[in-house]
Amino acid sequence: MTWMLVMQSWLPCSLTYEPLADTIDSTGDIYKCDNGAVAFKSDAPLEVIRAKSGKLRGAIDPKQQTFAWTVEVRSFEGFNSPLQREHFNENYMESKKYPKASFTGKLLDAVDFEKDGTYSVRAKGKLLIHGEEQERIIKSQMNISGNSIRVQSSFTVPLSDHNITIPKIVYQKIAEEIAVTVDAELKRN
Amino acid sequence: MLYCLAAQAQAPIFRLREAKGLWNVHMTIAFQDSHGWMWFGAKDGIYRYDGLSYQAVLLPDSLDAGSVSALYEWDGRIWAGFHSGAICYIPVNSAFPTDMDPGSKVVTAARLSLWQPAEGLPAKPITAFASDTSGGFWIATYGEGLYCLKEGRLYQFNSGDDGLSGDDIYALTRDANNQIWAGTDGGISICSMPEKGQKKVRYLGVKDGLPDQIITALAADKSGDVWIGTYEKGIARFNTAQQKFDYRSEKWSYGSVTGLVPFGKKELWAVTSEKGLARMNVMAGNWTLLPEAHPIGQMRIQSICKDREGLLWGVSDKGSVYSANVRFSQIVTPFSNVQAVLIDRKYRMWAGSQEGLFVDDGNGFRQVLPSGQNILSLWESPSDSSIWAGTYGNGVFILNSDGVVIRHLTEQGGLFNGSVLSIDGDRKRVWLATLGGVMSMNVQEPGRGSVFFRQSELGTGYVYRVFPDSRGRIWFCTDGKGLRVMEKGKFRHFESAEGIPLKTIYSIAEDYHGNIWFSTDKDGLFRYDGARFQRYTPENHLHSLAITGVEADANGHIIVAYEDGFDILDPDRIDHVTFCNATIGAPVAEVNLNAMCRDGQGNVWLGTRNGIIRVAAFDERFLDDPQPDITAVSVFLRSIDFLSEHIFPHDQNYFIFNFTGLWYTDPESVRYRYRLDGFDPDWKVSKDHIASYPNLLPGNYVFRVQTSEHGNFVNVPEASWAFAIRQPFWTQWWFIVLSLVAIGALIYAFIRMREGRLQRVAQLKREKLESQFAALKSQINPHFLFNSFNTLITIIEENPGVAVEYVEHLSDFYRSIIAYREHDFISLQEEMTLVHNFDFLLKKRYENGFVLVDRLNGQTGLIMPLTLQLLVENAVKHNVISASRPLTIEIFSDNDGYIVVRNNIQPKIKPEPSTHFGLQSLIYRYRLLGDRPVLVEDNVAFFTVKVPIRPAHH
Repeated sequence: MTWMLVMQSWLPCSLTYEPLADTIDSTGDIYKCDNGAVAFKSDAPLEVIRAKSGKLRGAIDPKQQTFAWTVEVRSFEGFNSPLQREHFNENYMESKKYPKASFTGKLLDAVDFEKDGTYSVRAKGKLLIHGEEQERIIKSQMNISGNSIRVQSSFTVPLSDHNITIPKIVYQKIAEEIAVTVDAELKRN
Repeated sequence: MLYCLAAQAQAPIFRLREAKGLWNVHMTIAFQDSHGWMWFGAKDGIYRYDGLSYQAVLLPDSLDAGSVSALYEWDGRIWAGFHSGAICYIPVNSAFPTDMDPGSKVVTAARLSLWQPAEGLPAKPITAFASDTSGGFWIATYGEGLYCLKEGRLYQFNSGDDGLSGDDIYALTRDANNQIWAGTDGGISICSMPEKGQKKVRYLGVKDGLPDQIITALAADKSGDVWIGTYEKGIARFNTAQQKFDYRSEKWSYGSVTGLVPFGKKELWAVTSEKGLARMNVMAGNWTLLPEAHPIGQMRIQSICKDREGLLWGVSDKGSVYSANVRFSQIVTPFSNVQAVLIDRKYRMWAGSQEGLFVDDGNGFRQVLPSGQNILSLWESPSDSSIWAGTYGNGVFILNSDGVVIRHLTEQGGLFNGSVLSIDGDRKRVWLATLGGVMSMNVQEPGRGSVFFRQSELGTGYVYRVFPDSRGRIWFCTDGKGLRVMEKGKFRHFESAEGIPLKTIYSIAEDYHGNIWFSTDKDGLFRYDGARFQRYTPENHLHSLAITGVEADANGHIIVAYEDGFDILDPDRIDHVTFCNATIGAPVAEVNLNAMCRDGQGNVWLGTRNGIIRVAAFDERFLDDPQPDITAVSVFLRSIDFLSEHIFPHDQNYFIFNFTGLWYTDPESVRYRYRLDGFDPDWKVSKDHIASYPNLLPGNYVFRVQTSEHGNFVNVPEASWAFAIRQPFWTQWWFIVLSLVAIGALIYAFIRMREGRLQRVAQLKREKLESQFAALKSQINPHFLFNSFNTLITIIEENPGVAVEYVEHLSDFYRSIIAYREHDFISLQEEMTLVHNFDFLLKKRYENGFVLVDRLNGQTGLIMPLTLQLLVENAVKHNVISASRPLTIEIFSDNDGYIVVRNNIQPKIKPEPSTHFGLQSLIYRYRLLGDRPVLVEDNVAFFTVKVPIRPAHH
């Protein structure tokens, strides 16, 4: 499942998420955020499950036109019951083994970061969820105003893409494709 | 309308494909879909062309996408890529409005739909599409690299992440290994995606043998080998089976190659920036340009493609559409009346006329024999490639391959006649047909070992052709004396064939099955398979009897020449003959007698009054017929999805069929014949694209349509569509059965009801009669009378006055009974009067032992006669009556509309014998009348009967 997207690192994916903050600090030109919102919705015949996290971390390097987003899987809250959240973490996402979900890559469409405005931007990168990486092109709206960028996006994540298997018994309670939305505001110093 | 632009040297004839009403539409790109429709991209959308008119499929409103830069068919849709990066589509089977839709005045144009993948559209121009057989749809961009749509997801290949050789892609093609080739500024990337998300990119660059790293055109040929056009180094071919380049052009000077179209393995057309359209003879490796004077030669071509008929389509930079039947090309010669033509093994063209002998080795014609030599025949010796030229009256010149005369055979030198009409032979011997007979000589040493056949062997000295066939037979086409053949030194004479006497034989050829074809001066064409003759005349669609020559091409087609054109006859398709003249894009062909030859690749060349014509034998199969296609079916003018709908209700019975027979070669010539199996007894032949059938009866039908380009509907392709109109449901057996059952059930129910009612009435009547009878019987029952008389006797003595009163009451009582018995109902007052009379009689008998309490208080209503009297009598009958235990009967009404008769219960020790008839009969009669039921309560203390009372009414 996918739920989550999140992305991380920028630059070549050799950078993992952890050094992100350091890199950001060292170069004042990078936009970053650590409290972005990411939410997912599983709309199955028998049940609708929603969860969200306010701890999406992200960074965009305008020079390189690269970006990285990441989120801790455990930070998702919501669900229809605490037990469901536990199942999410333990059974489906295996968040102990795969604590983070991320999306890192490059912007396909050129963006003039010095010019305020709203851009529709396609980002191509690796979406890592449940330890499984998938190359994806994800479309988002970027609203640039001064030193901040608001990024909004919605996309779907098929569970099968990320090797997340759902027991037959809850088949009708969990959708095969999870709808994910992201809303984050990045700022530069 | 088509018109001939021009026919210039060494060129097919290009026709401008104009269309009425299409002003200001500039086409950019051409494409043919799998149904055979030609599509063209433009600025405002795409256009579908049937050969006569264009139908617009416009962009969605408010989309400004630049012009169409790529067209493709994939997944049942036509895809159009635009300069803006937008991608639109329309289903291939879209219902196109036709101006023949009766009744519809508003023609709504079909519209493109904007493709909206979740990943977003590219922002750079779309340059090409391709698809692989594992479900991938490939989109090339100029600036964003390559996209692959696989299982609903869009993936991108670019130079930074995926090792693509460049992000500006000029061309795409698919090779024999199902891989997609992308031509870029940095070479070729060979891409595939075997599994979703699994990117494979292989690089092919200059180091691997590519002549130039900028790849501007790609095209796979019929076997999946890839032709590569470069920016400045010409053309190369990559053999995918051997994984190596097997052709590279040398000394390229035509500029960049922007389009490539292979015709089989033999021919390649290229669009070049410097020289326009160029044609390559692949086997010879030489190029032919359109002459500069050729109108197309001066145009820049944006896009080319070939169609399934073998036409080459080009879109000029001005947006005009041209097509050419590249099977035919014409070489205008600087001399007239080509009487002999020969293509040697080096692909030089030799042409003989009254003006001498000429050779073209790629740089134009050069005269090698002067004008005084009237050349009638040409032959290339297979042993030393010398050229033998037969003249009229001046013997044979033997030239080396450079055109230098090395020998001249004359009558003085041993030829017995100087007019040589035909020369043929093999590595050892050469045969010369002359006006004085035939002679054969040793090729190496002409003049030695000569053999002569004259009038004695041939019946005449005039021989038009001498022809050694592949089986070692020598054939002689004589003037007036039929066909002769020499086999193993023995002559055989064919004097007649199929009952036709054979006289003058002009021409002869052998096809690759070994059949011998020969033409006569006025009896048509014959085929001889070694045993039997088959004759061809205008009756089986030959153009005319005036045949000037016959030759077979590499595909087994027979080219039959006339003074006004030529036929292409396909022996595998009986009666399929195509007459080639200007209407199908062939040059004007006034073919001279026996001025024909076949070259080493199997193409046939014709010498005509004003030039030479090449009839190419491509090694790629093209259609030679219009293909019928049912394009739309409508029912009551509503277009239906005829691919999935086949069964219609009985009232959906007005069908209109639209069909086409695409034949871009000569669209005006297409004729249809159609038949609705199940309705039409015969075929209908028409030029229209529409057939309508109002008011079809229920049944099974098959609509069949055939097309022909020459009105000869033998062995032609057919399209059909089967459908059924259902019987109306009321004539279906199940409905009839159900209806009969339902009607039967209704009748049965009615009879049952009626019987029931009659029974009830009858029973009521019987009950009533029985009741009356019982009442009467009981009242005149001897007991009652006896008791009454005993009472009376007692009273008479004691009190005669009372006795009189008693008798009066008794009398009233009986009168009432008799008076009321015929009535269904009487008023409550009348009943009570009767009860009171009865009471009087009982009182006299039981004194204080009997008490009747009337508490009706003037209640009104209707009651069945004698009801209350019966109940009182019952009470008296079944109870002990004594002064110490008086029987008290109360009559009153409750508030529910019942008259209640209640008595205290003091049963007799020995019950009175009873028929139990009285009370039961009462209950039953009330039930029959449908009134509320009579209620009986029998508890320990009281016996109560409640009788419903009807409201009094009139």
